[in-house]
Amino acid sequence: MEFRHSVQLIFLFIMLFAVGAFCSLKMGVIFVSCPLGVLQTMAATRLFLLAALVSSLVLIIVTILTGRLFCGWICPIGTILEHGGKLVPRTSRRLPLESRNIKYGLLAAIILGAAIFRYAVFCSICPIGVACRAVSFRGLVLSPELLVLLFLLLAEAYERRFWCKYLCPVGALLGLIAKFKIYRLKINPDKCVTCKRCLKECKNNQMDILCPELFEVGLVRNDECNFCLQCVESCTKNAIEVVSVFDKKKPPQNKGEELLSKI
Amino acid sequence: MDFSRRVFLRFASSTTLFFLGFFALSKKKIAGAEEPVLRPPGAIDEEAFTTGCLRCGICIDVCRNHQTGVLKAMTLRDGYSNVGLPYFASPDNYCARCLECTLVCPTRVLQRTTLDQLGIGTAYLDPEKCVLSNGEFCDRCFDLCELEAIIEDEDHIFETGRFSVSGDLKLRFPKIIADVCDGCGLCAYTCPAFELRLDASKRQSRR
Repeated sequence: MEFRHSVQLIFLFIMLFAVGAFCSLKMGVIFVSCPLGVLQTMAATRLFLLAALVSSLVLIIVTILTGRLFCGWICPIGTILEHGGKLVPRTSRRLPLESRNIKYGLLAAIILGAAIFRYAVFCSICPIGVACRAVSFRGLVLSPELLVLLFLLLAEAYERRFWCKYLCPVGALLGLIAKFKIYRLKINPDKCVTCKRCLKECKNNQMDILCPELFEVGLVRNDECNFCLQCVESCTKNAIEVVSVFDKKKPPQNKGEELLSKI
Repeated sequence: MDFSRRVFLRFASSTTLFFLGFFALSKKKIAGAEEPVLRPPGAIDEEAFTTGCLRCGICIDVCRNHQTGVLKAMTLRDGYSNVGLPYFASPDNYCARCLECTLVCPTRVLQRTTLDQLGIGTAYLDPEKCVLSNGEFCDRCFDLCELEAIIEDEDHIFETGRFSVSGDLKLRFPKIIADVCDGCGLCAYTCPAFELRLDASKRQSRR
């Protein structure tokens, strides 16, 4: 999907070279902060940081609308893994789906850890922060924590976007918000011919959420989908639709039996 | 495929404990506890600074893009809990007093500061190590200090025994007035003996 890749590259450029990073970015009067970082500092300082909280709202609003759009379109690590991951040989292995809950555990540990140990425990090794701190127009600052990025690329050899699926706490936080997102993907069983083209597309390029098990019950996990829309594009029958939860005429509910009966 | 709440809680709680254990192992070590560290302009006290800093590096980026780039990020070598904290890389560089870094901090651990309140540290010099004590002439720090915080010390004069046009050549050692110095580090940057340094423990002296 050419459009998404160019958006990704534009954001990669902004994140790495602009003043500040995704952690807190300042462009004119617009101030954007990382919601996870702000939560950690609030837990650590035990203060209500209104200004920082307001600046993290930008991303929260985007997430309420479209879910983890950040992961698929904006995140510099997502871009690096998606394109840099082509360098490492990849297999078709996959951890069981329940393993995706690990990242929520890590998120809880980070917030608790920040409150107990009184500092932003995750920001030290956050891959996004590490990458953004290392790069600027004045050159590259090498530091030992850049090894984290190497680890991520190695994990890519086991499974595509391993970090994003199982470990990333930023994605977990956005995923929690994304459970209530407004624009959702729905598979319309009347149009679907179960060619499973979307499954392949999702597995090869993205978060692999349209795994056969989930697909068979006609379910898209809102907290995992990063809204790349590649499945929508790949579907020749236009069976996958983006619908708003407020939409009056909803497509028929995707009950598992309807799809299963077609297979 | 079971996505029940029970599975979620079992996974989440066990990994929570695992990662909490990891964070407990890398317990917070305040970088400036034993040996004070120079922090960016307007930094609050060390304990609160390490607690509240988001490690976003925006102050470092601002300094690097617009100014001298004196602010640098701590790395894994300074301990896990200090990664990404900005510090003032003093003898390697100096502060141009634009105070831009104090304006961008999202959590306000770098507080807005005026030029009068600025106090990054205080310059100090051991007269024994000054190049003047070798009988060599040097007046760089006198010349460069914009605040005129470095004056000639009338009580500490090196008699060279040589004569100049104006008479007996006497070298007067630099004397630093701590109340005037704001710790921009220009003198430390330029000192040929690399002995003029900033004392981080006195960084709050001007407030």
